[in-house]
Amino acid sequence: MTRFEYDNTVRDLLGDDTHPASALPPEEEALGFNNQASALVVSELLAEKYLTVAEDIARRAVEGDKLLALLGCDNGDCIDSFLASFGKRAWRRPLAADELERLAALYQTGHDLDPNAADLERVRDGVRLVLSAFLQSPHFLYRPEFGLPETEREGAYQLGPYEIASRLSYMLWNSMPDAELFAAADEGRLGTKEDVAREARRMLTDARVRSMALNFHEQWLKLSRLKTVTKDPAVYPMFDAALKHQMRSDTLLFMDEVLFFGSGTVDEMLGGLLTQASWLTVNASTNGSNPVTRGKFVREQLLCQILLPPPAEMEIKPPPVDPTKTTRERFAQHRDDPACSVCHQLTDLIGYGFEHYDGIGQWRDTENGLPIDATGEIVDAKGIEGPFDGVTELADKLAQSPQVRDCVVLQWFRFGYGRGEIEEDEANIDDLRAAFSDAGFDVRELLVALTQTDAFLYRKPVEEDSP
Amino acid sequence: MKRRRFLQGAAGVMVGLPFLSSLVPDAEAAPGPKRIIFFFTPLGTVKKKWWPLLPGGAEFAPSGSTHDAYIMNEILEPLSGKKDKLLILDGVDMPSAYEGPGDAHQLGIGHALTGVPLLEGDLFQYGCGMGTVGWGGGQSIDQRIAEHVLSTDLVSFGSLELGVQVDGDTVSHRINYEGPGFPIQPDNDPRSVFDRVFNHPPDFGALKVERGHVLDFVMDDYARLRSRLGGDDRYKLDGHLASVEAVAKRLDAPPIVYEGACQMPDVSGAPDDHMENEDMPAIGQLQMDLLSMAVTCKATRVATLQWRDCFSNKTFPWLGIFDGHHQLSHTNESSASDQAKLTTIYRWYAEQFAYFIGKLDAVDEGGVSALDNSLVVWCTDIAHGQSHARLKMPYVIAGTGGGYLKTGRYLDLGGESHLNLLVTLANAMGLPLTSFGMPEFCSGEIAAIKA
Repeated sequence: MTRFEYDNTVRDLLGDDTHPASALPPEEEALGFNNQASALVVSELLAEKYLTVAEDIARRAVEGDKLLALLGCDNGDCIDSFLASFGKRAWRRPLAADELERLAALYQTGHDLDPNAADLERVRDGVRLVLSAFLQSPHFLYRPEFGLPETEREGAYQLGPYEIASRLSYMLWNSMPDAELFAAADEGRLGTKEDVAREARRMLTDARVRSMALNFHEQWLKLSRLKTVTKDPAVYPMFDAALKHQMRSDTLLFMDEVLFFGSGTVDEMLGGLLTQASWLTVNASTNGSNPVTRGKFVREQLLCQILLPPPAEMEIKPPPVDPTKTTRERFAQHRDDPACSVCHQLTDLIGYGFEHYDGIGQWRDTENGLPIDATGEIVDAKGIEGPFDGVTELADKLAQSPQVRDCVVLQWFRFGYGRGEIEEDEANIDDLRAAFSDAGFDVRELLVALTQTDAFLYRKPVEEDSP
Repeated sequence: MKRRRFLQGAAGVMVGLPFLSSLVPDAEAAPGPKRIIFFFTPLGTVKKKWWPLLPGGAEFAPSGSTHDAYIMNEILEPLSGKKDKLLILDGVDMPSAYEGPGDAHQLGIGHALTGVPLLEGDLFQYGCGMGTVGWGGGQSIDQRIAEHVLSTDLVSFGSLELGVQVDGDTVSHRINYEGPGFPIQPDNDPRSVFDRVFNHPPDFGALKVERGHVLDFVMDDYARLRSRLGGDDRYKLDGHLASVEAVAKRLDAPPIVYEGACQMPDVSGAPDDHMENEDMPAIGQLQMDLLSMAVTCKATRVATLQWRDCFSNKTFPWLGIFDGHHQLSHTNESSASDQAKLTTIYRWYAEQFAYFIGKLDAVDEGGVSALDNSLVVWCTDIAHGQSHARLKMPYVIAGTGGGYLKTGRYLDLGGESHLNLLVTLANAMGLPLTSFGMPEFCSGEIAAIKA
């Protein structure tokens, strides 16, 4: 579970909105996302933090009157029913008899720690210990899935109702299932694709999907770098923490606006995205704009293209700031020298489109007194090759690009499923692309489509004892 | 994946602890155990400003020069006062770091302490290059040594991994590994380090009992679940279980005895944001204070202190340098002003190294200092920014490891494999290894640096 998911889950499970996961160390990051299951590991540091954070959450959850509200009674009489009902929410499925027994024994141990304490305090201690254990268990921190062997089809099992419920809630809300989803699982209403789609659409109307989407965009567009980017104070004296904060808020508000109050389509998003101060700032030099980094971002993050490395012996250094030239002119060698242009045409010719925006995203009509030339050209991108002038035209072209649309699908696949695509996913991805296209490239429909693939609804059987 | 044995349950915890303070006759003169600390700075150095010089400063000192026969060059000048306690080593290659996947930096940092190929995989793109790679492919030497220490000593922490603004969580940012595919992240936050190592509440006895019960339950959960899984899932859960076991075992470790040189550190002045670029010097100093005290108090005997990372484009505003470090490292020798900036950066790192070893050297452990009993190993990912070479890596080792190494010299080891260096360091720490990492690049100890 990532820190974001942990905070959301604890909020939904116990009403604790203190963001306890901010005490946890950052997650390992792969494919540009912090939720790629195969990259995440639990070191001793993280295990220790899970312990101390769980203790703190448990302590807060049983403080004063909260114990009664949580437990349902003020003595040990209702412990068994508490363990079953709370346990089902904490571990997102009904608990087995042996699990309930072990939990009851732990409760008793906690209860018996201080025989001289008042009865209510002894109950409190017992519940506190049990809560602490619930939150460190693999059944809380992970999503163990086994599938239903009786549904075997072509070597894969359909996922069980509680497993589907968790997949839905963590993908669409980055949090645990709600009461509705639990009820649907209890009552066998998650067994068909239509059932799943129905729940997904319901979930799209909940505010939690918006914070999930913001989490996705912040990672996809690498906006977190805004926090640590530095600029030369001689060139940008106004660039401070407050400005950074403002830039970030603006971008998140914009995303929210498009996705949940606007059309939700890639077109609408691209136009505004590429002129966000946050994005322009992160993709720039410390002392100016940078057509190379901006073009590179468009290639890698929007077109999902991989760029060749510069030759090993090459000196990679932006040309020094020259008060008699514009940035475009300073980077001339990338155009004029064939050794450079073979690669740099891919990045710089796109990056020039942003030249009206300086190193912190401010509009400029001139640079060093010289007029800005923001014409550029897209090469090597199916269907949208050709010249453009400025960001608006560039964004329009990109919005029409099948590669950008496919790239959006791929990024959501990786983030939504917590893994990279493998060969066997080809059919799944084709289905997603088709659904996206049919929906006019509305991201919200893509989210529903993500719940309809075999990759989402089925899994291979768990192989015990394999090395 | 190694398993650490954990002491079953809370009963019998207090039996057999050797560290009751009344038994220590004279705290100041108590002998000290050996420690090893890896001190990592990214992106190599500027050799022309690093090689020691002959007195007069006009020529470089030859290999084999003893400390009284050379003077420090610009970068290592802050260490002039400790020349007799240093081994300055040039000519150590990392041949393993040319094998297997990874870009130059990933290879450099990934092999520095492991010496085995990185895992194949799709997790990470090359930072500069075309290709993908997984995590590091083996246990790092510090963890191997830590296991050995834990098997013989009731030390609180098998190892500690601290960071100073390590700003990223991919294979390009990790130097320590529990095992293949199992990176250890550094703790960048001094307040967190303080809480973990030093800050025990007054009712810790009761808390320990509770934790023991909860962790017993939790470990049981992991053991039961992992037996129902296979392959990568089982491996991952095994790793998690081993981590919980290590935390549980630590409940039984002896508490720190604050007397003599071992005193509780003070982190109350720590900057609010431990990743704020400008505050790096303050954060670095706090981490060094915490680490040197942890080592002095014998809370751990194995540690790594990692300064930033290979792709760091963080700047050094307090040195008047506003270029990103990674960007600067790519410049070549024709740019004198950029080389001067890099020199300034590495000299600043030498000042930090000097500060750290100075703290250890001030601790008397029965006539020798804590530094004398230790090995503080300054290492890096590549030798030279522009070429990304993992050959002729610059190392500085401070301390003799309790008399195992012969310091006070500058040596060019002429292409010795870094795995031989790691084996020598392990042996110095009492772990008798004859080989580590890729066997084809490891022939055993380096006799030339031994006492």
